[in-house]
Amino acid sequence: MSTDADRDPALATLWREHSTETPSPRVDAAILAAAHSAAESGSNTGSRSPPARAWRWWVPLAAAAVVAVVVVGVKPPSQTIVDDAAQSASGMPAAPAEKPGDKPAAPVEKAIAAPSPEPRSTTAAPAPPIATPLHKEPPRQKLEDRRAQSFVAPPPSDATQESSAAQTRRDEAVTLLSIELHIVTLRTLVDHGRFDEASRELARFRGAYPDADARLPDDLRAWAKTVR
Amino acid sequence: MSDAPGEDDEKCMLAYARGEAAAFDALYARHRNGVYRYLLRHCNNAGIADELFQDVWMNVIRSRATYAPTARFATWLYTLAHHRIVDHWRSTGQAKLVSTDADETAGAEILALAGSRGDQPDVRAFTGQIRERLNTALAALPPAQRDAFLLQQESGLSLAEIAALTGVGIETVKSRLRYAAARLRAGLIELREASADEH
Repeated sequence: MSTDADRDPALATLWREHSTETPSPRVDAAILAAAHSAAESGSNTGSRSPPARAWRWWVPLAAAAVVAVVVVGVKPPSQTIVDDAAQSASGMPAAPAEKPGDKPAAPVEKAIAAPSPEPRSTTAAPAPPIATPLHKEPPRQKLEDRRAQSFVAPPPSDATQESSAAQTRRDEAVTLLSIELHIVTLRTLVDHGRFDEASRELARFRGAYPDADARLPDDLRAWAKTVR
Repeated sequence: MSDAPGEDDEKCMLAYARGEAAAFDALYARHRNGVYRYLLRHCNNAGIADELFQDVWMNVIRSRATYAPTARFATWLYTLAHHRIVDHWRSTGQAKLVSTDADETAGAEILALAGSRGDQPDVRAFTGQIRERLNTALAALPPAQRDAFLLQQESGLSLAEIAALTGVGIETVKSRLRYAAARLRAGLIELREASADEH
């Protein structure tokens, strides 16, 4: 972790709050399935590995499987056919599913192993059974949000609670961002000797937040004491 | 930034090389967001970022048996990502990522950023403006400055590690970071002033 003193903490905080994009679920599923498949193979593919693009043909299949898993995941337990125990213990996305009666290898395994001379594992990565989605497919963003949440913890069972908590988190983030923006602006103005503008900015900050001075970093707080 | 950059990244990678799939899961969970955003901010296209992101991690998977913890895992991982974005730019004929330091001639003001003065901004809209302004300012940075900034913000690497990764000196990295931060802050100040004018 970087501990460099010249890192701008205000800008870093602001950046973190605004840099929230995550990979899509289908990409997560593809990579994790490939990683698990490779681990099961027990040997390095090295130069014998297929070209990176060779396994992408099955991505739509993986995406469909992920969508199905997510849709099933949001249903009430009574409607869920998925065996929760089959989910990965690590909380990672499951490998693409297969229909009963299909060959044991999941699509990703086929794609990766097919061009390779390595022996194929006869025990495919455990894939949870997939229920036929009863719901209309949710918007992509909602799927990604849900996927991101499931990455760190199982989603709450109460959808209303979840929504309320998410709203609260967003509101807190917005407040923090606004404060950080004031601080970034103040620091830059002071650093550049634009004290008149800095004083006006401080007045705006104080107007918006009664405890503005307490929120300032030490160096800015010392300067702020000199400003009425 | 990595969610929880662990000191045991290297151990996890070695465990994965021995066949422990769960170790890869841990590594992926820690570093997926940072690597993805690093690539996304460079190419500004989610589809391309997805492709590059897959390539990077597939490279990790393929290289597992030859991985040697001579440096931090994060350094190695972001080196792969850095090389991948350079390759992408070369293949598409775009600007080189690492060139001379001519990109540090900060004379040209890159932040010709028109303020979004449409609706009366509530806090949420303001947040959107911040995000938009940051992204616009970042996209306008010279590639080497953007690279240094993203590596610092998303990877958590030290200046020395960023310098080694990008093949330049620490002072050059510091210089790039200073310019990048100044330009980003300038963009934010414009936004703040525009917002204040509206009130």
